[in-house]
This record gives sequence, structure tokens and C-alpha cells, in this order.
Amino acid sequence: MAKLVVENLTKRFGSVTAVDRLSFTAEDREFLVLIGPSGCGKSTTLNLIAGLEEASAGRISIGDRQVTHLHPKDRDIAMVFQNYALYPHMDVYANMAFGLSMRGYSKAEIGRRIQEAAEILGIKNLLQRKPRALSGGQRQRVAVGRAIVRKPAVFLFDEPLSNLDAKLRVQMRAELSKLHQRLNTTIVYVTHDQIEAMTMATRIVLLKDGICQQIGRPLELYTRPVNTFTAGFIGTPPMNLVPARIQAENGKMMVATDGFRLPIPARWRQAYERLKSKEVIFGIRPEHLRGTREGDIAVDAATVTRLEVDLVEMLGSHVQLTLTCGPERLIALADPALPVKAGDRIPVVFNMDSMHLFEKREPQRRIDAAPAA
Amino acid sequence: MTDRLHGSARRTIGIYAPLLLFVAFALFPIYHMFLTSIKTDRALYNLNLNPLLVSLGALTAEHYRLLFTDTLFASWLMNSLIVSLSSTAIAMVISILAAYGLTRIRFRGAATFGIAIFITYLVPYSLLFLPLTRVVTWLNLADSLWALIVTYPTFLVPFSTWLLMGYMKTIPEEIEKSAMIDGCNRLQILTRIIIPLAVPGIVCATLFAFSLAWNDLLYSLVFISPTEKKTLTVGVLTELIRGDVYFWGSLMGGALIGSVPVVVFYVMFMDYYVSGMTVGAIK
Amino acid sequence: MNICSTSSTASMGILPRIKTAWHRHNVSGYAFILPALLVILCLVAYPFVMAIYLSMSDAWVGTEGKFVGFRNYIDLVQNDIFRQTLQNSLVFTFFAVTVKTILGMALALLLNARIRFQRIFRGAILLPWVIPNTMSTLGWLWMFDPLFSVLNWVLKHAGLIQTNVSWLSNPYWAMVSIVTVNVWRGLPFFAITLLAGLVSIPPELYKAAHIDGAGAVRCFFRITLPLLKPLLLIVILFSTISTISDFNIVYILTRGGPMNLTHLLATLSFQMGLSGGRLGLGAAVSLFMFPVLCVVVYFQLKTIRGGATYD
Repeated sequence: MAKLVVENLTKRFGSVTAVDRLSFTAEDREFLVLIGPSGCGKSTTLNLIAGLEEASAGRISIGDRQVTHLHPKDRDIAMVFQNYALYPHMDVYANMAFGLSMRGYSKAEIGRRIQEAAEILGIKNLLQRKPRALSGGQRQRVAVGRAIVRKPAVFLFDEPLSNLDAKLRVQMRAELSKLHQRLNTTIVYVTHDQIEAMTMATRIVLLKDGICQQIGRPLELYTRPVNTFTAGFIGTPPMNLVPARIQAENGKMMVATDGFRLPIPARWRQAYERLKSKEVIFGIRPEHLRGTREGDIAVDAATVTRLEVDLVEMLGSHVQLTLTCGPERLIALADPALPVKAGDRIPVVFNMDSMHLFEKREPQRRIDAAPAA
Repeated sequence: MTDRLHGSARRTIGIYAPLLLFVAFALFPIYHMFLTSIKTDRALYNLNLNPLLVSLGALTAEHYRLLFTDTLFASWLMNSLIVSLSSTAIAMVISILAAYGLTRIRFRGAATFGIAIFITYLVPYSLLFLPLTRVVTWLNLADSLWALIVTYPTFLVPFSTWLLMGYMKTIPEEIEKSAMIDGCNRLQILTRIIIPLAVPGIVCATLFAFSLAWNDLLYSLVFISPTEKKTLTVGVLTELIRGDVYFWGSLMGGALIGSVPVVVFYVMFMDYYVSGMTVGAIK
Repeated sequence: MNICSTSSTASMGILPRIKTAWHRHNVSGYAFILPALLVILCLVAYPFVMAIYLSMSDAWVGTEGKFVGFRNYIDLVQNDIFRQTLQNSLVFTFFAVTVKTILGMALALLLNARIRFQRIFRGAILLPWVIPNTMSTLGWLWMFDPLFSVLNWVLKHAGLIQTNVSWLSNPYWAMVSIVTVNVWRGLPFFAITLLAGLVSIPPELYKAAHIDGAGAVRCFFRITLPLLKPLLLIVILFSTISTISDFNIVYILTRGGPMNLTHLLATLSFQMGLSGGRLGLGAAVSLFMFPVLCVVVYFQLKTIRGGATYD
């Protein structure tokens, strides 16, 4: 149980920089999730923390110890791998005992810890089995068990649920969250699955090309993405992002694109004054775009635009519509009872209170209504 | 229905007939060797008898007895065992270390050395026997079994290293990372994790290395001349054929006994054998 | 950030710093390959260089010899026996490899068909490859015996020949004999390796071709052969190098005779270099395998690097 501090961590493979001056802190007992698209450096970062790769620069400390140059075994960490990495020639008990016996624990202590971990994970009846005789979910539990018997300062998880089928993944997700509460320890968890990140993390570190994009609580990343990358990465279906221009019209501020012109909510008009005639990126999440039927509209008609439906996907609880908006496509949601088919032109309600604006210039930073202090 | 029957009959002829021909081609020489080794000389050299068969009256163990009483066959057998087992053991230790280093440790020059191993694997061993005689002379090993124990690794090491590299690549890297976190150093990873997991590959490489060493004719012909130091292959070939005099019965008996160890291993580990055969080409 | 890392390194003692460097450059890797490196340097690379040196010297067995440049090579090129040997090697290799390829392919296809007792068939087919060929070639020597040849007996009783074939003393039949023994021994390698290739071709391809109306012959030429081509090439290359460097078969069966018409590079090199005592000349003979080796290595590395497999 300790705090993990990563400062300016850098890893170069030849001319490629896999991790670039990454800094973050996992507080004691935090469940920190590293997420990003494949090749973003999240697994490399985890390997660096574990000591499986040597950092090119920067430092790592666990608790109050500098561990940057220590051998993995001396870092007081345990790691769970995507393919579980159980030792195929050892039974479950020996798998869990191996790390402890390498560290010279007594037989009795090893036995006690394994019983305890097996109890927590519900694998007491599997201790004499070889890994190949276990199901995917059981292997997963053993891999976790092998980590918890060690009682390390920090747990590292490298996409531990990716090899499980969808149903089991949901179940294990809940179990891992519970386990975290029970063990009360620091976890660094790598995944590419944003649902895992959103559901389990206390905080998320979002990486792209080895560079940290945003660190924050899950809801923070969702509601206040700092750039278009975060906006597009977190949330399914992803946020709609279209190039737009800010125009002043009759004292109102308008967002204009090739497909629509809509007013910015009155409370933000003042703040966005500075953007007049600027090119920006307009962002709005699908759940804030609602497809409706003519005559159904009971909202401020000013935030309604008629758009052509390109594709209708029935998902049961709702309908997902792909709309044509000039050269762009927008995703909107609608009630499943809405009679709509491809080619129709329907009124679409924009919930402008939930809109986002980003700079057009890379890295397309968020533009807040209140300028950053 | 008739069509089916027709089809299956055609299939039988079309597949089993040629297959049996191939089997006959493969097995006939071995059968004939065996027959020769258990026939009396009188039956053997009678042109009027069917050479494909043997009558009960013409059966004899005389040829085998002769091998062990009138020749140094037992010594040759022992020499071959000593040389093949020692050189195989040495080669396996060297190859396991090298294969592990080359597949699992990313050090500068690993790729180049891997290719060098592969190239030496392709170098025909009959290319280098002349300069090797000089090496053997300098080391003062001529006419000693050590000459073979030292030189056989030249063709055993590249082969088994290459084979083991192919095998070790299939062991997931995460297992090794896991062992590292569990507190192993490289040597412990090798002995406690990789070697137990690579057992099939190691068995296979051992099998091949042993057969290669056992089968050598050239090196032992060149490096060893005293009769009592000869290996089986050379002993049988040079001592049982004297000028024009051939002791065919004993010759075939010796050749069969000389094949036994390898064939026994083969029968025990046929699947490993097959995987090892194809690894050079496929991996 | 650089400052950060330097300060952290500077604060370490000398020992941890060595440890870090050891770790960073994975120095332990060199320790693992050292024995293999020594074997290759001392017992392959050094002899190879010495072979080149010897081939340019007039060394006899037991003498140092002096440098004579390309004298040995010039002598060889003008030497009738050597030219004959070169021709023999090419003829032997070409026919042996061709026959092994065709029969090996046929055998692989047969073994790949859904047959009963597959394991037994495979096991039997493999035996010639398993048995030490020094031993089995002795069996063939007996089968080619001028007087008691069982082959002659069988052919006569089958009515195929009237008089005995003198297998090893007739120039034409001697070549046929050594090719036959090489094929007998090498066929399993082709068959089993190609079988492994056949097994890994996805059956969906044949189903798709079947739906498209392709027959067995067309399937073979349009699917099997193209997909097997990289593997076939590798197997042929492997076999070429081991066939052209063969020693055992010729040494046991013919010792190069009749009239040097079955000498191969290895046996001639042995005869000139050791029996004849002319070490330099013998080394030069064996080095004629080198160009073939180069070609094989070139193509092998190309296929390995290109990752050309059938999947």
C-alpha cells in the first residue's frame, strides 16, 4: 500500500519514442487506469513501472523509495498479464507459491497466504489443477491470486480482461472493483476498453503516441474532454465533431456549419464573444442529439435543424441514426418508436447546453466558456 | 449408392495401392537386411533359393555371435555410445544457453548472431573436414575419442540451437516477465521456467543431435584409425569388409544393431521427431 | 527531464551503476551465447578460413606448405577427374532432388488423404530417414551385389530383365544406384515436411474451389501448389545443399568408381586430400560447394526475412 509517482518517464526504442515525458501520481489505494489506442505506450509504461523495461529517462518511486533502476523483484509490485502468464508446468498452488518461495517465505506462511487468497477468489477447489485444466475465467482468478498472495505495494494489471468473453468480462469487472475495495491497495490498470476505465477507475490517464492527453476522474474526462482526441476516445458512440464557424447575428452568437446554424446558449454568449468569426470544432455527444417527428417538437425551435437520415440502426432501447450534415456525418439517438427510414428528412433537436467547442488548430484544445484562469 | 461404392473402390486403388508401393520401397531394404543377418551362409550364397524368404532350417544366429566374438563390435558400439552421448550432451547445454539468449534477451548483435547460427547450420559438414584434421592434430586429439566429442558440436550446435530457437519463440514472453517479477534472475528463469516448458523441443533436438552424431562416418574415418577406437559406423564398414571378402550376414547384423538405438528413440518419440524435421523448413 | 535522469544516476554508487548498464544493454545475453560463439569461431569459422588458406597452398598431410595462389584451382579446372566430378555432382544433385520433389509431393498428397492407419503409414515411410544412412547404405551395397543382388533376382523373376544388371560397375547404373539410395533416404524429409504444409492449408479454400467447380487437378495447380511454393522452395534448397555435399552413399557404394564416374565433391576431396595426401588440392575441391552454399543461404535468408510462409 503506497503511492506511486511517475515523473518525466521516457522510453525510446531506437528512434521511436514510446513514452514521452510522462508524469502522473497514483495516490495510495487509488485505482488508476491507463488507457489509449493500441501503440499509445500504455503497456510500455506499465512495463517500465514493473522494471521489465529500463527507462530511458525519468524516475519512478513507490512509497518513499526510488525504484527507477531496481530489478523487478525488488520493487514490491505484482503484475497480472493479459494472457495470464501462468506457469503451465506448475499446478495452481505452485503458481501462487512460486514468487513467495523465491523470496524465502516459510512453507507455513506460503500455505496460509494461498489459502487466504484462494478464499477471497473462490478457487480453493482448483489448487491442485494445472493451468491447462482451467477455464479462462479460472485462469484469470489464479493470475490475480498469484499477485495478491504477494501483498505488494502496487498491483499492475495489463489488459487482464481482454482474453475473456463479453459476459465473463462484465462479471470480472465487478469482481475486480470489489477486490480493490477489499484489498485497499494501489492499482495501476492498463486497458484499451473505455468501459472498463469508466466503471473501475478512480482516475484515468489517457495516452496517445506516448504523450499524456488528460488525467482525471472518469466523469471529468467524459464531460470536460481537454481536446478532440479525448472527446472522440471516451464515449460510445463517440462525440460528433464537425468544423464550424462562430458568427454574430442579431446580437446572438451562432455556430454555423455546412449543415446547420444554431445559437449558442445565452449564458455563454458573453464568454464566446472573443471567438467571433473564428473557425472552431463543434462537438456534441450523440445522446444530446435527438431525432424526432414533425409536430413532436415541444422545445425551443431555434435548436432544431432538419437533416437527412443516412442510416437507421435499431438497438432495442433506442435507435441510432446517422445523419448527413454537409460533408460530415452526425450520430443521433431517437426513440425506438420513431417512424423513420433512410432518406427521410427529420427534425433533429440539438441540446446546445451540452455542446463543446475546440480549437481548430492542433492539438485542438478545448475552449471553455470562461477563459482559463 | 452404387456410385459411392464405385467411388470408394476407386479411392482404395488410387490411394492405398501407390501408398503401399511407397511403403514397400521404404521397408524392403530393411527387411532384406534383417533376412540376410539371420540366414546361414549356405542359404545366403545359394543362387537357386528365393532370397526374399528363409526356410526354418536356414535360420542362424551365427552372424551375430561372430560380431561379438570375432570382432571388436562391442567396443565400437561402446565407442559410438560414448561419443554420441557426450557430444550430444555438450551440444545441448551450449544450444539451450544460446537459443535462450538469442530468443529472449534483446542485446546488440543478437539478430546477427542468430543469422550466423543459421548459416553455419547450412554449411555442409563435409566442407570442413580437411582443416579440422589440422585442428585435431594441434589439440593432440588424433586417434582419441575426444577428437569426435570435440568436433561433432560443429554440426550439432547450429542445428539444435536453430531448432530450439524456433521452439522457445513459442513460449509466451509474459511467462518470463512474470518469473522476473516473482524474483528470478535470467539463469533461474532458464532452469526453472523455460527448460521445463521447452522439454518437447529439447527432446526433439537431443534426438536429432544423437542421430547425427551416431550416423557420422566421415569425421571418425578421418580422425580415428586404431581398430579398437573406431566408432560403429567405421568399424562395421572397414573391418567387416576386407578387400573383396564380405561377411554379409555379420555386416547386415552389425548395421541393424547399429540402427537399433536410433530407431528405439524414434519409436518412443515419433511426434517430436516429426516436429523437429519440419522445424528447419517451416520455422 | 534530462536533468532529472542524470541526477538520479549520479546519486547512485558505482556498483548499482554497473548493474544498471548491465541491465540496460542486456549484457547477460552475451554470456548465454558465449559457448556457442566459441564453438562457431573455433570449429567453423576458423577451419573455414583455414580451408581457404589450404586451398591456396601446396600443403601435404603433415607439412605446412607454402602459398601458391590459385594454382590448385587452376590445376583442378584442367583436371579431367575433377571436371568429371563436378559434372557428376550436378547430375546427381539434379536428378536426386527432382525425383525427391516429385515423389515427395505425391507421397505427401497420399498421406494427406483421409486414410486409415495414418500413423502407421507415416511411421513406416519415415524409417529410411531415421535409420543411420551409413548403416542402411550397407544394406543397399548388398542389394547391389554383382552376384547375389536381390534386385536382379526380383527383376529376373518378374521378367523385366534377362541378364544380371551390374549395378555399381556399369557407369550408367552406378549413377542410377546412388541416386536411388539418396532418394530412398531423403524422400521422407520431403514427404513429411510437405505434408505439414498441406495440413496447414485452410480447408475452406478447397471448399470454395469446389463450389466454383474446380476438380482435383485444378485444385492442386491453383491452390495447393501456389500455397506450398515457399515451403517447397525451402525444402528443395535444403535438400540441394545436403545432396551435393553427400559423402556416405558414394563412399560406401562405389568409392567414386567406375572410372570416377560417381565421384562427388566430398569423396574426391577425401580421396585427394587424405588418401592422396594433397591437403591443399582436397581443400580446393571441397570449397567448390561454397558457391552452392551461398545461393542456398541467400534464398533461405530472403524467405525467412520476407516471412513467406503459407499462412
